[in-house]
Amino acid sequence: MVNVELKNVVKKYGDLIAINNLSFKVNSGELMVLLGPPGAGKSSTLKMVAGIEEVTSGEILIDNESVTNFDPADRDVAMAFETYALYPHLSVFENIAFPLRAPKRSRLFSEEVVKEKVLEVAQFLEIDMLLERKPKELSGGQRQRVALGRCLIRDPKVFLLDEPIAHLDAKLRHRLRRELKKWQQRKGVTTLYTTTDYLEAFSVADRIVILNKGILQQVGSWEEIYNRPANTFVGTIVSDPPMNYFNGKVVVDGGKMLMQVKGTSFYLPSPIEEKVKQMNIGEVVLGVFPSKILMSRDENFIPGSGTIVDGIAKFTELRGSRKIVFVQTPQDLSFTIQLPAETKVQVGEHVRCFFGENEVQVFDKQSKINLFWV
Amino acid sequence: MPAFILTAGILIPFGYSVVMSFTDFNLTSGTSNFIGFGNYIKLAKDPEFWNALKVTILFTIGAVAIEVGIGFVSAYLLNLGMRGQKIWRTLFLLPVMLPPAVAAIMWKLMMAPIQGVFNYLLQLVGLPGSQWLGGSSSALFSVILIDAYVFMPFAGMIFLAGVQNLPKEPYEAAAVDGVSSWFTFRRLTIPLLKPVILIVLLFRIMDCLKQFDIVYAATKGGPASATMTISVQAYYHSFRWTNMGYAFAHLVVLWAIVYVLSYFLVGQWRKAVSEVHGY
Repeated sequence: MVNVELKNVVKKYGDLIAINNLSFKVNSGELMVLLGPPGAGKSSTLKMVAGIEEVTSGEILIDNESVTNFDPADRDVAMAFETYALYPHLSVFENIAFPLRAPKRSRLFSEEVVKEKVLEVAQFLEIDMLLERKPKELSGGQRQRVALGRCLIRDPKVFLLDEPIAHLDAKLRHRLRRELKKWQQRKGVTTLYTTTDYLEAFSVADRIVILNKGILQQVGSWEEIYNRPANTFVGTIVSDPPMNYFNGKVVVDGGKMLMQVKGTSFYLPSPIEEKVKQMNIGEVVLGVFPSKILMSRDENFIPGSGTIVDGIAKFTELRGSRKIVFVQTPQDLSFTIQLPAETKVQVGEHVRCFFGENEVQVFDKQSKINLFWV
Repeated sequence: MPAFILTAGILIPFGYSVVMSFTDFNLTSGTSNFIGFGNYIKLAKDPEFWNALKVTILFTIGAVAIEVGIGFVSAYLLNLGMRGQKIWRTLFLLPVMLPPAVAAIMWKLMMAPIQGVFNYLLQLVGLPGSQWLGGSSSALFSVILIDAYVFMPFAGMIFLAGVQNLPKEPYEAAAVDGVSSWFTFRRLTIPLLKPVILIVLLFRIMDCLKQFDIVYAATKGGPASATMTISVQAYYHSFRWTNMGYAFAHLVVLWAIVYVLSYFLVGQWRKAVSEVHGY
């Protein structure tokens, strides 16, 4: 069993800092997803672990051994490239078989075994009917599966999957992310997996590393991240529509701490009150995921401890099994709510929204850091 | 219209040559009678022609082998990103800028058996000198060297462009897959560069088969026809001995050889491009 650890890794391209002091540890057999927007440094991180990109400073450990100065070949990792990196003159079969036919492994695998393994991987990826084709004769999604196949055919210490299913059609993507997870668990290979899609990250990851501009934002399971996003960036990236944010002043009313914005007073969660007092914070950003806001047309709707906000449904949008409702209060406070698709809401209708006290996140206005984590 | 003029400009001299190759056209006597395949039958029986064909083929094999071999290695070295790369590349290109005949005269001086630099250097290290262009056994090798000197940079530069355009990602994938440099070179670089290699072969083979200027400037085909290529021999038949019809027959046979080889190489090139680039 193999773990992977990055210690204070920095990667510079000229003056540009692509990765800034990145440290995290992937436990043995774990599937760790690097989530972030394009340009966050995900691929660079993977390439540094693979040894294709040199580390400017810092250390990379595989199996508790520093591999920072090792050649890629000596790290025993397999990588699926986002850009496919297929060998254009070789057929699909030859591309997938290539790692096994390399001189260092060709003695371990007879041609019979190579054929068997290629077929197994190709069937798994639904490209077994394309084995004789050249990459130029394949669609983007098929090429991506060949690239993935060339990685999965090996039994390395670490799998590095760089957006491995990003270019597949939705149906196949959904099936493969489930199947990939199963494959990884069956093989028990420690895996680093990158994606820009938070849903994909949540569905395959044991834990998630969130990156932005080469800086680590948060590491944790999806529950940890979703329940307590480390900062407003995380709140934005792990939700679609993104988290609702309200900038407001902190006031104390009747012994209870509130945040006031556009005629609405939100109750702050009790643990935050203490921190706001200690740090003498006057303004905060309150954040709440659209999925965490409850809505009712009943005027007596008060489901628990929190803030009631009355508004008008300005418009609605159906997104698959979800309905997104854009609400505006008479004082011009706007936010989005996510509801089950079958919820009946008319545009222009009065709605009562409930912001549960423990569902709201409170961020420092300057640093945008979640005060729960301070 | 311009296309017509261009095509006519190419085809008329060619057609004229073919027609003339079936005549006994002689500049001295002024005769020009149709003699059918007479010139070609004469060619087939002419040991001088067979010698010229052999010399032309040996010259082409030797020169192309050296130009492609050293050109390839040079391209690799020039692509390593060493210090002063721009200066190296400029120096490397200098021979191509020389007119081949000038290069031939320059080398002729350097290869002179008595005052030449080459023999002087050989004697310095205790080796016997050579007759170079003057020796019947060394002359062909010597003109091959001159041709290689002039055209190796051409091959090298095309290879360099090819090497620089190689996609980066498959090499990264191969590195991660733990493939050795030699395996990568054999299984990736050579196949990916195949279209470029074929282009260099096409240009250099065509050019070497038609070789005239370097040989004429260096040896005039001698000594004793040791470097007599088909083009040089055709020149003698036409402008020295005024047998224009017979000279044209030489050139038509040469054209046929160049055409067949080019046709084959272009076909191979198309196939290679399709394999590598997908179009």
